[in-house]
Amino acid sequence: MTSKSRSEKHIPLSIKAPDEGTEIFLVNDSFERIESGIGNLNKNVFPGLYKIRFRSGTTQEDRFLEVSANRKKVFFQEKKPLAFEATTPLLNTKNDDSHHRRIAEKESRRTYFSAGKGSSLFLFIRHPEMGIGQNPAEGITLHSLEGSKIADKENGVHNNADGCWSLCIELDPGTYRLRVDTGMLGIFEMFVVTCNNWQTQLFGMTSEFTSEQKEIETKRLTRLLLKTTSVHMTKGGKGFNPASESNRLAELAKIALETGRTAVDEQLFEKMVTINIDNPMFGIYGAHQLLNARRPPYKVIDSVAEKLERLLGPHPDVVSLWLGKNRKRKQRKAVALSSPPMLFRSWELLTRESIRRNSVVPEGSFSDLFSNGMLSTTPWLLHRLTLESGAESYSPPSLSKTKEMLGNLAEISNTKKGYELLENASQQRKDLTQLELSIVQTMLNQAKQSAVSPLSLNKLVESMKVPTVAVKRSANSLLEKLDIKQKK
Amino acid sequence: MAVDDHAIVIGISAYPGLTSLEGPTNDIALFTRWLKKKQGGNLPSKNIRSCSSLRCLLKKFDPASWGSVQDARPHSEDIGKLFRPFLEKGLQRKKAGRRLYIYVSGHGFARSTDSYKNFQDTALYTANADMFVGLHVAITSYAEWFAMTAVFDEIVLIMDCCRTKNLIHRYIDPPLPTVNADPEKARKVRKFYAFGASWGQAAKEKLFSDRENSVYGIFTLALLEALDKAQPNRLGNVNGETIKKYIHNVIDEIAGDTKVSPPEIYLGNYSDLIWFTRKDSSSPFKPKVTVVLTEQQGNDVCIIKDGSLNTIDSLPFTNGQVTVELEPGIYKISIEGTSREQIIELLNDDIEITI
Repeated sequence: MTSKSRSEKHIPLSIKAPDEGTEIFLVNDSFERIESGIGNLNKNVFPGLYKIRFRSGTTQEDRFLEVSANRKKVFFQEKKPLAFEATTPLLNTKNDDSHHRRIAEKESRRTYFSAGKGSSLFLFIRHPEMGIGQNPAEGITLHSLEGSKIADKENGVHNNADGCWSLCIELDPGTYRLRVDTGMLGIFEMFVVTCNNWQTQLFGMTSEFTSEQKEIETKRLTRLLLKTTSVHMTKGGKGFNPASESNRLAELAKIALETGRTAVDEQLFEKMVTINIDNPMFGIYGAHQLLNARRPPYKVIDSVAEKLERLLGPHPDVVSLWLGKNRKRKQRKAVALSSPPMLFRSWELLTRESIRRNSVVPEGSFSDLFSNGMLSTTPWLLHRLTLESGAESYSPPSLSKTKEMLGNLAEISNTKKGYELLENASQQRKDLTQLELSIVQTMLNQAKQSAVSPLSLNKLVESMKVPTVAVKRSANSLLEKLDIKQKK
Repeated sequence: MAVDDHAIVIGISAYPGLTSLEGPTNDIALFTRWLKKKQGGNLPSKNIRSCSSLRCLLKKFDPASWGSVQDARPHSEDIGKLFRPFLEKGLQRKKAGRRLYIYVSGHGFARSTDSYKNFQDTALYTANADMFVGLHVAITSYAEWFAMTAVFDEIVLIMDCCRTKNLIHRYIDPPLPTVNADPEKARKVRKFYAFGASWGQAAKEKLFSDRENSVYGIFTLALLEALDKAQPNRLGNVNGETIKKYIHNVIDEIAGDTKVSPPEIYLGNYSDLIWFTRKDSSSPFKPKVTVVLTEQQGNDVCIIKDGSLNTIDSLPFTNGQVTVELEPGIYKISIEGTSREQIIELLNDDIEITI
């Protein structure tokens, strides 16, 4: 008998995670990662000792495994789900509380009042720890896209003993603004989309907001933290299911989107979305993760987007999936979005597309006019209410006029007097809107670099992450405020 | 002495417009000590350009005298001065040295983007930042400029700061000069970019009772432990990959009860850099494993197998326990003739197990 070479001693190893959203890393005895997978992992390995790391959200757990030379194949299954930190009160998560689960389950099945027809919105806000007597919905209001108030904390039910608050409303399908007043830090809002025959469920946790300044007394407020909220969807009338596998996967997909990771396996993802559509948000979160890949699997994304469109109708975060970098896809879907999406990723796709096609954000639409208070955050597109909101409804200048204005600004910033003018404007922060200030700061940086060519509109759109129409308007208003319109 | 190596060390603790930190002052003291240490960076003091809430290069600051947030220092121009001599070298297409260390500790944030091209972009808030106007220095832009111009052969960038995506603050690159760089030279610059938090996550500082009750950045301590204890290869070299793995394996242990996100460490696309060579590599540090028996039955023997399942030792128990020194790795410990066994992971600390 001839001796076997080392390569012939490979043993097939299969590892299965407790759910399809858990990442698996296989590490050898030199602590080198030799393979990774999502939900499952298959690898031919040499006999030896291995470490298997499971990761759900930001929680990870290690297991050790012996692969003996006398085994034909090895199968390892981790059955216990990892208790990751979740905003949604799901079973087997770190913040899992049976009271919260029961309350959310029950309250999502009854309608508190109707402000429309066809879709439903369930809001569930809780404190991360028990014992905070204050209503978690303090400072919260729900508004239509146009701004009229629909509900506030008084419309919901505050369960003082369990530190949670809930509200379930019937609404017309559309986009709504969930607003949080954080006092000195400002008023923030996120956008929530409801769809015909579906219930949108928003889960949030409160956090302490501190404003600490030298001359001002430290103030602490407990308010809903919008950026960590989770959004799920379920068929109308079914209510929230804390034990649902779809909800768990959607929560993990949301966390992955939030942390810039890709935690969906593309083949499995397509299969799961097609078969199991209990929670369309899993499809939306997952497709946006895949779209961010170095080589996006457009076939899978398109198939998921088509399926979601059929189910939900014109949901902005689904529509934006067609705005990838692939030209062929763009030709297929000439979309326009007048109402903002929920996800920041969708917004980025939209602003990038506006460079090529202005009409993707219709002039005067909410998406156009609210750009000034747009906040760069993930996963959600947030908006900070500014005093000047709504005051900019005049028509933006033409493309050639904008180019001319930017050229003027660049020329001015390259002179000593002009540079000082812009610097003063930058320091008098309150006089300029956020977008105007961004243009000034970019111009100053350009001048410091002694750049000869004027800043292009495309570059401004890319760096400011707002549609071209908003940049044009801000360039015009900036020139007016600086009173240098006539100086060319 | 590593006379061709240079370092820029920045630690901002006092932020009148944000929440002040306690760790950065201690972090930069520790890292500077490592830089100067003979078995560490071995840099001459004059090659270390430092900036803190009390002093930036020769300029002294007095936080007590700051009337408003706007007066707080260091601001971006103070920090810009630290980089200036090397920028000038780059513009003149000259070499400034072999390696540049850039160490940063303070409040920070990451560029909020979905582009994989600039996912590393991380900025340090300057002392005059507040919640509304996030004045900052985009540190990674400097590091990348130095790499692009190949002013140094190696860039070591350490940023122990948050990499959250800020709600209000826009990420603005510093006004770096435009140069015609040689792409081939740029390609060969070796890099070690380490971030205390993954993109979108917060880095944490913690009070360490075993370190004179002082606060340190958890990532900084993990890095320094790696630099102190990571095993060299057969040539005695401790390379970037080794340091990276060590940090990943040890950070949770250092963090203890504090929850930390995994750090992000990039080694660049060219060959891995050698952090340093251990002179005493023939006798590397080996942690001890003590195996304790729950019940001893006569002449019990402890069998130790390595990661390839080769028996590397077989030791009799004395008074119900046995201690052995092993290199970091994964081992199987069993009691001969019984089914009692345990797989262990040995990092760089002594451990005790009961079988």
